[in-house]
Amino acid sequence: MRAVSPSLVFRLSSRNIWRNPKRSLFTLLAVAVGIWSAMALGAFTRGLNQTLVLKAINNLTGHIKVMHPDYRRDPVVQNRIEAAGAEMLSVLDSDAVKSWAARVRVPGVVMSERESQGTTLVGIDPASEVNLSFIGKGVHDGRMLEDELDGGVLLGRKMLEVLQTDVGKRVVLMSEGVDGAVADRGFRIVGAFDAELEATERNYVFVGRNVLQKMLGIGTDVSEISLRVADGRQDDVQRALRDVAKDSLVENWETLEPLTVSMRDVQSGFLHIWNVIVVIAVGFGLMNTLFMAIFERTREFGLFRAIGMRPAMIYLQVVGESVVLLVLGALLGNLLALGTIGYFAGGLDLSRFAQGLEHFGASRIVYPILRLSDVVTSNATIIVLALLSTLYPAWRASRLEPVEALSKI
Amino acid sequence: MARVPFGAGGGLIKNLSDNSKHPTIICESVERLYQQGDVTVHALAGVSLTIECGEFVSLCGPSGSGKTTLLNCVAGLDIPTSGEVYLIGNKISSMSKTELADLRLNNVGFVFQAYNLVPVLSAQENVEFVMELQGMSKKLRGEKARSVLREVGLEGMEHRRPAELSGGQQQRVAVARAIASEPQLVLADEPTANLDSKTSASLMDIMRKMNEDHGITFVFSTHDQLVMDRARRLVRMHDGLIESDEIQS
Ligand SMILES: Nc1ncnc2c1ncn2[C@@H]1O[C@H](COP(=O)(O)OP(=O)(O)O)[C@@H](O)[C@H]1O
Ligand SMILES: [Mg+2]
Repeated sequence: MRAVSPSLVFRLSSRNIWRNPKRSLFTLLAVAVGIWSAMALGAFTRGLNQTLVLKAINNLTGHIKVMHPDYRRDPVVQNRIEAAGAEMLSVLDSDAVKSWAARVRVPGVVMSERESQGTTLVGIDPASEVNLSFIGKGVHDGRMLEDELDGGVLLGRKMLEVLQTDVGKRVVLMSEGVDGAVADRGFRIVGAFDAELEATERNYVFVGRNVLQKMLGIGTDVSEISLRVADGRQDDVQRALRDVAKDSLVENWETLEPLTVSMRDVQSGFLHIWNVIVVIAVGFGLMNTLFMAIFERTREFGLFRAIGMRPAMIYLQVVGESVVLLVLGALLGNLLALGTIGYFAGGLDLSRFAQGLEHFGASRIVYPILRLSDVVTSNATIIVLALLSTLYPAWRASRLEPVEALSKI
Repeated sequence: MARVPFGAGGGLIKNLSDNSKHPTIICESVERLYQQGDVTVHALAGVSLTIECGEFVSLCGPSGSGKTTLLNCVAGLDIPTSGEVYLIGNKISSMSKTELADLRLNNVGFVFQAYNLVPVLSAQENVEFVMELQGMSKKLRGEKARSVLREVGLEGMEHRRPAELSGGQQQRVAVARAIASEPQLVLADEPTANLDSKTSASLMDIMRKMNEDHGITFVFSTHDQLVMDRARRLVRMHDGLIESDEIQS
C-alpha cells in the first residue's frame, strides 16, 4: 500500500483550480505581476543607473581626477597644477589606466554678435578625449578640433541657439588671465556638439588646450587630469596617484559626483522597497486565498481523513494546487517581463519627462538591462516566498480534526 | 457468513479467517464527555456494545442522544474520555493517527448524511477513490467501480459529477464508494436523512443486499421509522446510554 498516490494528488490539485476560477486567476495574476514587476522594474532601474553613472563619468569627470586642492571650491585659473611629470606619467601610462587627458578648465563668457553667455571654457587635446569623455565622440555639425593647437571652438547646439549664431561664424571668449586682467580672443565656430542634457550643451565650450593656455598665460599648466581606469583598478590607481601627486587632490567619481551616487542608491532603494511590498502582497494574498479555499473545503478534508487519507496527502494536495498556479503564474510573469523589456530594448524615450529628469542628471533614453542573475533572483524570491506562504495553510488543512471538520457544512 | 468479492476477476480477496475471529466492534463502558463552559455534556455516558461480523444494525434515538459520537468513537475519529473500543480486533486507544487512518482505509467504509462526495471527481472517480488510496491498479479498480455502480443502479452515470446527480443518486454513489473496496464494516451516519421515503427505502434495500450478498457488516444511525424497520438489530439510545438492544424478525 502506498501512503500517497501522486496521480490522485495531482488530479485533485489541478481540478480544484477550476473550482473557483476567479480565485485561481487572482493567485496566478498576483504571481505573474510580482515577477513581471520585479524583472521589468529591475531592468529599467539598472538601465537608468547605468546611464546615470556613465553620464557622470563621460561628463568630463572620468573615474578619477587630479587637481589643485582648492579647485573644487574655487575653479579659477589660479588653482591650477603643473603638467604631468615623469613620476605621474609612469602611473598614467600603466596598464591600469585605459585613457587619460589633461585639461584647462576655467569659468568664462562666450559672446556672439547678438548675445553673451556665461560658461566654462575647456581646453582639450582632442586625441586624448576619444575614449574618455563625450566630446571625444565627435561633433554633430562641422568638424572636430584637430589638435591642441587648433584655433577653432566647439559650441553646444543649445548654445548656438542661445547666442543666435551658427557654425562658421565667430565668437569671442573671455576669462580672467593669470595676471588678474581680462584675457580674451576671437574664435571661429568649427563644430557644434550634441549632449544628452541641454545643460551640458550650454555649460561647456571646447577649444584647443594650447590655445587656451596661451590666452590665459599659464604656460603648460592645466586645471585637471581626468582618467578612466580598467575594471576593478580604481582604488589601486587612486592610491598610486596620491603617492606621486602629494600636493594635488586625487578624487574618484563617487566623491566628485555625490548626487549621482545618491541618485543611484535612492533608485536601488526604491526598487528594493517596491520588491518587498510586492513580495509581501503576493505572499499574503496567496495565504489569504488559500485559507479561504481550505475553509470552504473543511468538510471535504474531514471526509478524506475519515475514509483513511493520511494527513501528508492532504498537505501535498493543498501545496500541489499552489505549485500548479505558481508555475503557471511564473511562466506568464516571465513572458510579460521579457516582452516588456524586449519591446523597449531600443530604448525607452523619456523625453517627455526629460526636462524634469535633467535636474537629476538622468538621460532622455533608458535602455533596460536584463541580467540572468536578476531573472533568477526575481523568480526565486517570488516563488520561494509564495511557496512558503502556502505551507502554513496546507499544514493547517492537514491538521484539521476530522470530527470537527465533518461537523462543518 | 461468506464474503463474496465484487467484479468478475475478484483479485483483492483479504485474509478473512484472521479478522472473522473477532467481533467487528466491541465497546466497553465508553464515555465521551464534552465540556461546554461550566456544563459537562455526557455525549456517551457508558456504552457497552458488541457487534459481530455480518450484522445489519440500526442505532436509533432522538437528536442529541449520542449516535454520531458513538459512530465517531468506533471509527477512531473521536477519542473516548474513558472506556475501550476494539475495531476488528484492534485496540483503538493504542494506535497512532496514521495507523488508524490505514485501518479505516482498508477495513471501514463511510456514508454520511450529506456532502459525501468529492465535487471535482466524477461518480466513478469517487467510487475509485478509496481503492486508489489503497494503491489498487487502475484497471482493477475501474472494473470494480463500474460493477458496484451497476449494483446500486447507476449504470450510465459513471462520468457525472456529484452536482449532476440527485440527492438519492449521490447517496447511492456514497454507498458504492463505501463498499467497493470490500471493507469489513460500513458505518453510515443518518444516510437517509435528506432523502424522501421512497428513495430512502431503495437505499436501504441496496445496503441490505450488499450485507446479504457480500457479508459486509453495516451499522447506521437513523431516527427514521422506515429505516429502523429494515434493520435486523435495533439499538436504541437516549442521553448517551443504550436504552434497548433487540433483534427484529
Ligand atoms: N463537539 C462537541 N462539543 C460539545 N458538545 C457536543 C459536541 N459534539 C456533540 N456534542 C453533544 O453531545 C451530545 C450527543 O451528540 P451527537 O452524538 O451528535 O447526537 P446525535 O448524533 O444522536 O444527534 C449532544 O448533546 C451534543 O450537543
Ligand atoms: Mg448525529
